[in-house]
Amino acid sequence: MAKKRDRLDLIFDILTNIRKSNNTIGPTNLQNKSNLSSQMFREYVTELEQTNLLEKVENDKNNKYVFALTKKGNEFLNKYREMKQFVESFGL
Amino acid sequence: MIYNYLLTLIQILKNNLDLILFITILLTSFIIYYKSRKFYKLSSYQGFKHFANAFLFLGLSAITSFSKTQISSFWINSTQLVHNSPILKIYESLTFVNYYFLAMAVFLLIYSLVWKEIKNNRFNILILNLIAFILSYIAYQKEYLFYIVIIILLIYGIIISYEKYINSKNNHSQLYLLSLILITISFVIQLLLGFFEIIQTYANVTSIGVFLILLYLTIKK
Repeated sequence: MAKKRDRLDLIFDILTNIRKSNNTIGPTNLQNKSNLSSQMFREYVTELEQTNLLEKVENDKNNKYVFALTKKGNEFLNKYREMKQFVESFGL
Repeated sequence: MIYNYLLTLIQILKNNLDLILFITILLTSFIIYYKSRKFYKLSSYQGFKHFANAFLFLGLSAITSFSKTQISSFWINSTQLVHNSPILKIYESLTFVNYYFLAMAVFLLIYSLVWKEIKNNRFNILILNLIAFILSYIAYQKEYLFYIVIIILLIYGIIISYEKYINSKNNHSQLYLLSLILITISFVIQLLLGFFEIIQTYANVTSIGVFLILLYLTIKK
């Protein structure tokens, strides 16, 4: 059975999916790839936007918005392994 | 000749053990606080915040404890430590805040282990502050009661850490568990046999070892 993802893992998954899609991905696509319910997805995305880890960018082609990583979001991904190791070492 | 140098070095270390312990705790606490705070700013993960604050209080506790030791060693035989003297008042205030900082450090250390299991409530930290304040007041009259509470909390922390280690089998969490066990044993022995100078030396050396383990866990990549 797969291990339940904690908060850090979920944020990592969402941000990694944006990075893997060349830093632009639509909301439905991101939700499917992140494997989250729509309510959970909305909550997380709102929080990540408020904490400046991702941003909504208007798509010129169809006037809809896509998600993109911010500088802080990129830094989170770069530091993820270190943070995860810290959490596991000290049982946080 | 090397033997003589070693003996001299050991003597210097022994004479300055309090200072070495103070610097080790201060340095480790600062690095852990800085790193946890940085991770918290990046992720908003509550565990980092509680852990950072635990080491902030631990650092403050080290500062007050060291200041107390310095005051007592400078003025212990002086007439300035008489009843109602300003120095005595400073010493007593430092003793009280030292208990408070230490209690908060241990509370937050345990809270950083169990925060996921507790309903998130903004009053939790306020309640911990209040308990720490009351405990410091009690400690002022009955110091042993304070240390008994601290030891019980640390034993609880060991149990939680052990469960986490069993679930994760992470070598680094094993080291953290070892640190908690060593510091608890150190507190127990100090409580029971603290009046022996050799026990105080043992406790200081153990504490230095524990903080070096914590420092290693923090700075390793």
